[in-house]
Amino acid sequence: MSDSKNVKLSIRGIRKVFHIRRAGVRSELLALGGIDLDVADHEFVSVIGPSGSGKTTLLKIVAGLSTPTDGTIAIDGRPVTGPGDDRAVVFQTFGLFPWKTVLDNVRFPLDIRDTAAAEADRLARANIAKVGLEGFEDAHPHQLSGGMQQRVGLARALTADPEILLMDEPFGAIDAQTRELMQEELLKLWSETKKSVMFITHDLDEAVLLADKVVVLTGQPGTVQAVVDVPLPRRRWEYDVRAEPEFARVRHEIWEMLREGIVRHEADEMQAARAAV
Amino acid sequence: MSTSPLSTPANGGTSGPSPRGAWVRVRGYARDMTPPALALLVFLAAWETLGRLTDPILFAPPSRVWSGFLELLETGRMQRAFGITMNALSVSFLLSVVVGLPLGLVLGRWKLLSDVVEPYLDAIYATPRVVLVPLIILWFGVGYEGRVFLIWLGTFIPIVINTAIGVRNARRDLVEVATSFGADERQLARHVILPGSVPYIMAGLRIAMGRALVGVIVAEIFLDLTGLGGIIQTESAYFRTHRMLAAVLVIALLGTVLIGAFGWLEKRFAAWKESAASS
Amino acid sequence: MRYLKHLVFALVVFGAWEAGGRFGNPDVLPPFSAVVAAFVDILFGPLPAALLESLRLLVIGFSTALALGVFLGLIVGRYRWLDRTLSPYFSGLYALPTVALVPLVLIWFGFDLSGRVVVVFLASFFPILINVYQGARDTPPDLLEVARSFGVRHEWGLVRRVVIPAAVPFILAGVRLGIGRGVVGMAIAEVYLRLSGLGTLIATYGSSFQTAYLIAAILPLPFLGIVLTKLLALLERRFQVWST
Repeated sequence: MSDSKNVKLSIRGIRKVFHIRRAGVRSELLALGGIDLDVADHEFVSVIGPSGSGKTTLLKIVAGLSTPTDGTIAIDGRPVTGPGDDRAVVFQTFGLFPWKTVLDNVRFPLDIRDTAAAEADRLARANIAKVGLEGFEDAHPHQLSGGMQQRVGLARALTADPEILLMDEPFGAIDAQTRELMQEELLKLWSETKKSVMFITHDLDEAVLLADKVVVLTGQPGTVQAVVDVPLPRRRWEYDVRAEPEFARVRHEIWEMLREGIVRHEADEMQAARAAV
Repeated sequence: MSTSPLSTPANGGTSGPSPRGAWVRVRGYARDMTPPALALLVFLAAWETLGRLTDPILFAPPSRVWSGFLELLETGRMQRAFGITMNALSVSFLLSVVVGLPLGLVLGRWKLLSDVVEPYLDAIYATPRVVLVPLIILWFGVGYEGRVFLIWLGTFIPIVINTAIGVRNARRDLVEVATSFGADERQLARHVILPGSVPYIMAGLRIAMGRALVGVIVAEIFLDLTGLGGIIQTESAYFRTHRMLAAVLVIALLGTVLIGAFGWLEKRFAAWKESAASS
Repeated sequence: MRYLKHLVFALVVFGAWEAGGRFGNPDVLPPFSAVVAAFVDILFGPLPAALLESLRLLVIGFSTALALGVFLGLIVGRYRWLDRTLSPYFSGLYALPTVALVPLVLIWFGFDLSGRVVVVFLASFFPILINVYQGARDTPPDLLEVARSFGVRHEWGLVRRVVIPAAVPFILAGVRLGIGRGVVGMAIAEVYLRLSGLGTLIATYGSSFQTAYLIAAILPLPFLGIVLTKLLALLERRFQVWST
């Protein structure tokens, strides 16, 4: 744990119970079974876990889009309950407004805050340039590839200028080669802006490649199984991280933890599908 | 979905109109239009022959229909009728928009109200307007107001229903995005719900225009013998089929132009939709 | 109580109607109770026979439109040259109010059942044709390739095994639109061409200012339209199980 640094985001005892009504029968599903987690100032934290471990639910609670059943979220020590300017989300399905141009999508957080138009324009254009999309300001999302759309999503989150960037499997819907490129660029952007990042993923390589530490969740209900430090040097775009023995060691360590959960989850899924058929 | 390379937009439309491109387009258009134009010529020729060989009352040939059209123009009847029809059509369409849009927005946001009101709207919508003619005569008489009411009754409902569906179908993921950036209710409406419902509203307007056209003809034939519908009815009563068909064709043309225009608007306003990228 | 809100709202609507009828001119708006009484009266009087006659017209006209619409829609959708030649006119025919053609139908077919059937046919035909055409034209090409690769050779085999099943949602949507328009066509035919069925009742009560009876005779039509459309929507949902 990075005790030496200031804690930016602190997650304490988060539990989430979903009330489900299927065919008139009420039941309860415990999605998160008490999560404790810290993200330090300027720290990049990956959260990984099998499907059903409540990763996205956790991110939504931190974002203020969902309320926890128990527990608290605090930023710089003060508790938060709803969305706020100190956090910005990058969504898995991009979440771009199809009727807005790239520029208007990126400007959105500032328009919501009633920032002066000229200032909003200037900031948005700067961030569009930062993610390498100059010249596409007037394009509509449907004219862009998946990778480009997520660059817009990233630029929008940067324009909100949050202290914490919340990323919900942002590259999950992007093809493999583009994804590697995006990971590299995210690392560069992060080293420039030094924001705190909470990065949800189900891709083990991605989790290790990007993060200072990887939080491993177990499946249903989601609980923290382990927090693994990634002691690889930074500026990771300058060398082949995957070729490092340390990368292989950390990756293997996490995989051993995940494996059991994935196998069990798969068996559960098959059982549920069989029951449904 | 387009999976274009990173460097260029898939459908940017940034390449300016070159004369060469325009020529290719014209040629493509000509090639597309040749078979339907030929089919029309064959159809007209067959009709002309049939009309000349048989009773012109039954199959008034195209040449006679054309002269019927000119007769109606010369006396000024066609122009007057067209004006009357357009007047009732546009006034009732406007009234439908004025009533339909706000009502649709309210029903889209207020589920309880829409649950109880929509069955009644469905019932009115499902009632053929022609059977309401006796009732409308009782309420409004056979004049202008009666016609406008009859048209309006079938026209405002698709606008209400489509607007409500558009508001209701606001994409939940985008509502979540806007909320995450701190949007309040008013900003949510402005940035997410209203723009998202525009394609539905435009489709509603197109359907409503079709309904208004039917309504105006029903009103002019059954309620108040006037306008283009009046010409159809009067001329057919005197077995002047050629003049009647001239009025029918004017209505068909009017309908195609109006509905085509609304279809075009609908496409334009939904240019950002993913489906537009594939074409 | 899912129905409580409907009950409350209905009480408001029909209560207001009743009050309006009692305090206003009953020739213009008869109270709701008078309409109910009139409805009960014709229910045990001329309504069943009239409704049956109207339904007969609807069934004959609509089934003709269905058969021809599906047949021609499949053909135009499957052959590119027919598609290119005819489809530009579809939107025009769709836009033309059928009612404008009714006087012509009268001249061509006369007052008989055939003329009335033609009106219903014309009303129902185009929505069915256009929907079936779109469904047949947009058959997923990969499914056609799969069928060919497994040895389906003849056009009829492809149509039967791939085109029609894939077009079922389109066909049903066309049928739903077509039946709604068919009811309108039926009303127009019965009022305009020759008084028959419900048209007779409506015209008679209308011209004798028996307003309560007039409204009672109109009521079966929206009911018919809604029931038929709802039934077809139900059918559509059943057939869409595999598409979700």
